[in-house]
Amino acid sequence: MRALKTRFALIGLAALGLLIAGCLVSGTFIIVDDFQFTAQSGFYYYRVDITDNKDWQEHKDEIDDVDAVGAEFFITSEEEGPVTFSVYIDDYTPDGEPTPNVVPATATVIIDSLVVNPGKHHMTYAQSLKIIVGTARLKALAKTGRFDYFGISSGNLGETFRVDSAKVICTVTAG
Amino acid sequence: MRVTVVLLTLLLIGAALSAQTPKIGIGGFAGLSIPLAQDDQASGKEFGFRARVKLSFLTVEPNFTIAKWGQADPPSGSGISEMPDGSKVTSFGVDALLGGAPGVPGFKPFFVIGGASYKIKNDENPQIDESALGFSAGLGFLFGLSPKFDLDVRGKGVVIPTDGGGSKKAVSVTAGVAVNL
Repeated sequence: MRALKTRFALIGLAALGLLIAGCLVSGTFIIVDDFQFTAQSGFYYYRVDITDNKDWQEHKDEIDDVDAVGAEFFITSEEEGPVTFSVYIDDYTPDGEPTPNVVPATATVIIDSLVVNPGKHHMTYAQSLKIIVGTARLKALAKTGRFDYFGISSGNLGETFRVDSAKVICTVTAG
Repeated sequence: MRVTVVLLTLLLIGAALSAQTPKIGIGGFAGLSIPLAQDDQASGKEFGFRARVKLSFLTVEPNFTIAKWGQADPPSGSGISEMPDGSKVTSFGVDALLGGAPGVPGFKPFFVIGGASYKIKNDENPQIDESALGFSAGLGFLFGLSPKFDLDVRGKGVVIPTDGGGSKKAVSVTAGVAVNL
């Protein structure tokens, strides 16, 4: 009986040790990439690259999961009517390759036809999480740390529809 | 996974009922769940219920727990205006206690180790919805108020594996009362 108790206690202590050791080397981190744009001609292209982020650099070889990918936007529309706004993502265009000027057929829509009324708007990270679709591809691309982002708007002209500030927010678990 | 936990629980209770002088109890508890190394979660409340079966040298506790983590502050320098609310973690599992001696008056420290089926879900983030078998270990004490009642205080580390090979970790600190039947 005494030996069994000792064995049980040792297993428990080992489990505690593993837990403490695990906490020291793994965790869930939030990585942010900032940009802004004016959707001239209803098209915008941006190359999201979080690989130079400090947390990414620190854990890039140990990333287990991309828990969530979201965005935050501050939008100003000076149009008289609503503007429809969509976002697509695709594989990262390598440096030196021509900049895409249309949304490729291989792209995946992640924000589909969001209607933006005239005025100033703030879409929070939490709000974006509820409208983002295509999350499987988004997470797969985010796991590489780089992907192409395409913003498409209709119902606007010239510089009347601006995304004053945008963030792509990735939550990753690394071990 | 939950079926496995239920079968294991029934097996343990059956073993206890056939053992010598079993002591059975029930109880409730509440406290704090503190996520570890999770930038997207903050501490939150936890509560639950447990049954207690005293075997020859250890005590087995089937349990059900609900923890609701809080809304984290945006990471400094990120510029994020507001984070989503924290996730909800429900679990259904079995703990084993070495020490404790339910129904005996006085201070009784114990060591606890357990396994459970965990579900992590976030109402504000549909991308977070995972189920997994996890484990926990910790320390605590019972304080026997009378042969019928024990005060139960414990702290546990919890590890919940996630799909890609990572894990979510938390510390659970709870206090509760157990009634020995």
